[in-house]
Amino acid sequence: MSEAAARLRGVGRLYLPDGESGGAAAAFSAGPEGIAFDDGRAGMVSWPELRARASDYGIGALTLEWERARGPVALVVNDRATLAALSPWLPPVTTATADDPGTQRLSKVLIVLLVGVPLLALLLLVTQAGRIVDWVVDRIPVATEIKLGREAAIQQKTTLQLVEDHPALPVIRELGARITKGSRYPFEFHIARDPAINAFAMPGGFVVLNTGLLEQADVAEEVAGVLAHEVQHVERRHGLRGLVHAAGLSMALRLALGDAGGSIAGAWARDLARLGFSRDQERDADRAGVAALLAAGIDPRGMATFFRKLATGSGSVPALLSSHPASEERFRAVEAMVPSGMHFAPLDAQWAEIRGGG
Amino acid sequence: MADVIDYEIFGNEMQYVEIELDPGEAAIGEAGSMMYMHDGIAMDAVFGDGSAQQNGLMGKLLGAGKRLLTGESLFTTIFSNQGSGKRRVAFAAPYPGKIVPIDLSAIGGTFICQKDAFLCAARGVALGIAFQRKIGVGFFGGEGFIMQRLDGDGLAFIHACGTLLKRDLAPGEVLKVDTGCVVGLQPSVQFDIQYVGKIKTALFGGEGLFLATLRGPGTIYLQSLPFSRLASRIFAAAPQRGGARGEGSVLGGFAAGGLLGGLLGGDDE
Repeated sequence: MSEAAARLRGVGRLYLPDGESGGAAAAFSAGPEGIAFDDGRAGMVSWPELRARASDYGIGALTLEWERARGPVALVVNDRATLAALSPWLPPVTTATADDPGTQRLSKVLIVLLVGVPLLALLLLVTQAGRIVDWVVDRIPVATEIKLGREAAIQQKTTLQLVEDHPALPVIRELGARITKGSRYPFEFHIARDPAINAFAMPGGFVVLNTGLLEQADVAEEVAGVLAHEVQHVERRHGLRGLVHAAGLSMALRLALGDAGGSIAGAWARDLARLGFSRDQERDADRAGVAALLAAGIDPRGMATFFRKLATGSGSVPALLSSHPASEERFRAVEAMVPSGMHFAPLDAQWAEIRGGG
Repeated sequence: MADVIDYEIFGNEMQYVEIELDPGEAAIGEAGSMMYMHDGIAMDAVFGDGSAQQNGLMGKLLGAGKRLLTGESLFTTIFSNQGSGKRRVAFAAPYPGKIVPIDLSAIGGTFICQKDAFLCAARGVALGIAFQRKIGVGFFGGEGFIMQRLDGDGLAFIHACGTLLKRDLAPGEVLKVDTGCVVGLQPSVQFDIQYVGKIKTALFGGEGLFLATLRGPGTIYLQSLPFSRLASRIFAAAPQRGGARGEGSVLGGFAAGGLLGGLLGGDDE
């Protein structure tokens, strides 16, 4: 076999330190001593001078690099047949399929942190929710809560149709004042024109009864029962608790899902907040509500009869019950809290006339 | 051999490219990117990318599966000129940015680019995927683990958000780039990430913990604006809490909607 026949001819892209931008196609011949380029500027390179690097992406091309006085030179060979023919002479090919060790360590730590910490936070929040929320809520001063509630109430007022001249309003305000006597919250009682049988209270003491609810109440004691119950949600900071819970969840979800998750987290948190109160909180509000009614000298059985009436009534479940799950056990518990043989002065006898709005 | 096509790019920030097809020539376009075409051009949706490499059922399935991985439609559309004269078909970019022609024969036959960067190409260009095998780069390099690979010897058009910059890196030349700004590179370019090295810079410089380092030789394309950055700005500015008033008892609409949104919904950038 002649020397000339053993030489391999090939074409690659040659990158000279001062060469054409983007490299240029260059023909070369290769033999046991090295690679010789047809283009005189690159001259020739011996095999020991070369470093061979495979593409990061597992693409067949090889990049051969070597140093010259003017700077590094590179030859990129794409052709598989040429590469196969060159392979006996080539130095060991390095493939950069991994980050450098420092980056590797750091990214491992970061990945664990980015995945682990939010998961841990989520886990903590789910398992220890009650304690964490209690801890946070205990640290929010009443004044802050009232301020937050005020802002929310102002927002809410724009979406509510408040009726300022409802004939039942003075009765409700008077009842409210009796029930909330000595409270640390400045309560405000309103009636909203809305056929939905519902009532709600905001942190800080903004309480709203719908006209739909008033029409369903046969006696003032029933309204008083609802009022007492809602007031206790405020007194016992159930709303604030829900808010803190939702905020915590939202924050944890944001951490877990990243920036993109922020919006999802917001929507989830909103839905979670709408779930309202837990059964325990409802029972709590019942119990404290009954106590407040007793202290104010109002018959607490109105609360139980009203809820029972709504629960057993025909038609769809009223909004009030969807947020305040009703159960016979709950009504009985309320009734059981009333000491037997106690007598109450009946409330405003005019209720039947004023409840409809006159 | 891919078809040799002529083209013209129109527009400034919202561009489209018009491709001239001789009789018998064809172009492939990303599904949904066609803007208009002359009469006499036939449109045919094919499974996969319609290149010669994808003959046979398995080849087609594989090609289509790869396209699915890069987040694109299973189908590409082939626009072929079946008339007798020159005909034109235009492809429009889906968001503000620049369209760049890449002559695969001039850069060694293979180009690697971001997912979604492909807009259209001459028939004969094969669309594939390239896996990023460096975990750190995959997670923090801004381009993810899967990139798009264009193979062939014809013209391909890629599109990216913002202004596109072409740089030819000399052997050993290193350019440090914000992660997410790398649009495409030749496979001979080494793509790594580098820890910025200063927590202070990462926290307060707003540049992130890592930078992408690109080491020559080879051609790279950079974008001035990663689309995700534009999207997050738009999202942050868009009204997100419309309408629905909550019914529930206490927390109604205000809790998470107004107050919480205001407290937590800061601008991420």
